[in-house]
Amino acid sequence: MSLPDWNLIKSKLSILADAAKYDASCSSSGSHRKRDAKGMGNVEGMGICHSYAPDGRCISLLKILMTNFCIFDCKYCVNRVSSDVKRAKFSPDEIVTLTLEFYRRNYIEGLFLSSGIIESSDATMEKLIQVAKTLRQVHRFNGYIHLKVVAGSSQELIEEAGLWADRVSANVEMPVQKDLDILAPAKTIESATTSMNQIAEKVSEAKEEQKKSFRFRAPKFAPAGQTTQMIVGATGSTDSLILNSSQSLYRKYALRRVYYSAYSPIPHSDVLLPTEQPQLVRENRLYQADWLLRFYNFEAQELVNDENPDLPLDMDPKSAWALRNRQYFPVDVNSAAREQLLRVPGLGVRNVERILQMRPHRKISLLDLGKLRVPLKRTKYFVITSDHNPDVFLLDSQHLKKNIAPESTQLSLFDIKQTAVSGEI
Amino acid sequence: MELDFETWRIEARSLLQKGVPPHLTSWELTQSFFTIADSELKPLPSPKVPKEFMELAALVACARDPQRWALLYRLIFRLNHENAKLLNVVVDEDVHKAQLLAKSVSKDIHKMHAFVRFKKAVIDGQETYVAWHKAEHYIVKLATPFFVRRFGDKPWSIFTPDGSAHWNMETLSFSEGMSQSDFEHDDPFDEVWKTYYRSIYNPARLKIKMMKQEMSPKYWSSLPEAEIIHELIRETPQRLQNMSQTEKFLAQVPDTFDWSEVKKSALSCNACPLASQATQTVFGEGNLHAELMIVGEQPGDEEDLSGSAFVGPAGQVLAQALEKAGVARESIYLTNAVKHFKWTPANASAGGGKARIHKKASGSEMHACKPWLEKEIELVKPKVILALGATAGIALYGRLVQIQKERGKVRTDSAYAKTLLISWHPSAILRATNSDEASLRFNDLVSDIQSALAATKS
Repeated sequence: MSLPDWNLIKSKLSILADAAKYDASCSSSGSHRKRDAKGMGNVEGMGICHSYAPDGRCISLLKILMTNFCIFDCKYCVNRVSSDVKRAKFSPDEIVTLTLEFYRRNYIEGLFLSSGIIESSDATMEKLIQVAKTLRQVHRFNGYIHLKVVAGSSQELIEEAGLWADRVSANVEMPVQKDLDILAPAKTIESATTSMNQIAEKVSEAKEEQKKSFRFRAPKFAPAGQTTQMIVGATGSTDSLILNSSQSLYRKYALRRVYYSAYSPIPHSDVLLPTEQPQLVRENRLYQADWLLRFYNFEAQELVNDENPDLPLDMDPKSAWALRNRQYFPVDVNSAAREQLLRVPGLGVRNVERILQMRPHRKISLLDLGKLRVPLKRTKYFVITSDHNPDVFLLDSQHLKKNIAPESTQLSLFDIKQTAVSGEI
Repeated sequence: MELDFETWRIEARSLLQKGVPPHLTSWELTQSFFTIADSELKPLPSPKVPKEFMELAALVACARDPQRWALLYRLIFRLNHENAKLLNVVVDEDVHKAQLLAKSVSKDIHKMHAFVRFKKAVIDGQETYVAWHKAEHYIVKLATPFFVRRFGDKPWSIFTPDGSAHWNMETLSFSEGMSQSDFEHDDPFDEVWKTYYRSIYNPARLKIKMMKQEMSPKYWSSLPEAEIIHELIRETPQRLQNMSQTEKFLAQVPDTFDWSEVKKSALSCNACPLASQATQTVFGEGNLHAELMIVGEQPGDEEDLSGSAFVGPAGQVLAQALEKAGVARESIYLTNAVKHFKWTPANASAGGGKARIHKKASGSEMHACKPWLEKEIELVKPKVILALGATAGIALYGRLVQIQKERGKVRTDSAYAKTLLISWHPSAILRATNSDEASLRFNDLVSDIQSALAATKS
């Protein structure tokens, strides 16, 4: 192979990484691959964040578009056909080389590859697949690969993508069709959910096959499953619409995650879109609520409803739920069931497990909760502990909200970080 | 020589068997000792510990904390004498401390897996990868087998101040440490990585604290990308300002149903920079109750001077096509997606004189002008719209339309009209490379006009 022109590659890279940065998906977890004896790369289940940009976001994969030329005109997208951004296009070989060189130096866990749509959906998808296939077959590369399903790709191509990639995903972008009609007239929710359905079916089918096969392992299909992304704050859609849409996606298509991406101003943006700073606090509240749906047995309707269509920004969604449902409390940490403990503001999944583990050996006091780093400022009003806890008498007080909501309206960075890492609220 | 985990394990086992309580032991020296006569001890012939303890202890043993050996002995003693399930009591002082240390070591191992940056080198004629990394704890032995599993196909070395690891494609060996100043390797490829790092950063979401929490500055000295962090942060306010100050153009359309009034106000539109360059606005014209509306791209030189749509060479081609299709120009409404002429002066030295060369409107200019087109559609309410050319296609289809592929396909799901079609712009016929192509496209146009006409009657 002749040496690539690195200056040319650098200039394309600056355009095509810039074009990809609005996709929030960064995870490299959930898959297992052993290194091939003739190549490099493996995946060990837990993802690795190899770097962090000054925006606090992790850099785990080489996240790029194959091209930012696109025939669509989605208003929220920096790559829409009517945008005046610079355009570029990588060849499949260039992407393969970049991935291998980056990986070899331990910059990344693997590749996240998406693309603007050129010619047709299938023609574009075929090129993405070609990159993954070359990495796997020619270079025996067993690092992580996440391929984006180009909107409207045919089922055969989705099925082939899953053979080479660890994760295959389709973005719904907006919670409801009405939003797409305004901002992405040529896109439909249905086209995304059709792809999701095809992926979900194939993933579970492959798992069944793997279970059955003994002597010859059936081929894997997207072992890290699928995810999707919704853009938040580009339209007036409420958190209720968003969370109900997520809940239904989780149930129907067994998604690993829904990513929420606060719409952030883009260069050359469309006039229909807001220019103010992205709604980062709202984005974080949605992530918190999303954790409650997946790991705390909450229903979307409990968190947002007609009366409260949006999550409050000044406190976490579990505390907000607790304030509206005080009859549920206080909960006795020394006797309550797991699902009751999970509803207590400030108690996360891991701490609930620890409490349950400790209970046979020790009566748990407020001080013990403090040692577990439970945020007592919030939690103490909702629990009965082995010692005297006078604050629990304030449970019905009108001023409770003031006591538990942080003074500043701005969410502390620590909270955001904690949530992002552990998912505990 | 520091104690290592294996030596501690053997030592601790023998102390436990003798029954020596933790407060009488000392782990300061290379060997533990205790200060009590054997006779006063309660021996424990076969001490036991749970598997979880050994996993925890293997991590704690790597912590950069002189108290760790004593802590581990206290735990192992209490597990045997006090509570075999002690590790479940996570709020216990010793358990808590051990878990904190283990967590810190695990995190350090994870960060080493993340932050080692290999540089390509050629050593003794062989392609080798080398890295220098500074860990917080004594983790070289625990952390480096990961790199064998991942990069076992090439030789590599990782140097740290506390010890170094070497892979020769057969065995992993360890040697003494190295300071950063002795590590002299450059990899020009780091520049490509920095380019990526710079471009993947979104300045609209600057969160320095969060970055530092996850990627502590103590690791920065060996991260090539860290060299540009300050520069990126410094540029951020300016980049944000540039983004918010990028002018966004949108025509202000009067709220009226009177076509003449709308046109009048369009004539003075200066929503985008095209207005200052053009002679006048070229608004649509024709039958205000037309069932067929034809939307072209943008006015050319002659349209700009006359103020009427489709009067130049392309307009003449359209007139011929309309005639051949049997459509009277007066019966339809004709307009353009963009209402101002855009041009650049011809290169005079190349003999261009004062000619104005047509230039395609940019995305933001097309967008700025769209409200006029939408208002025209709202007023005329055509049953059928025929878009001519790509610009009209983007305006009406919401995406780039490949005319060759999509002409002849009737769209009935458009918000603009019951029926939407697309065809060649007459200028594409003028630009055709040969007369065969030109007449082919002309016939296409005629037949597309006929289909549009038929659709008005259905």
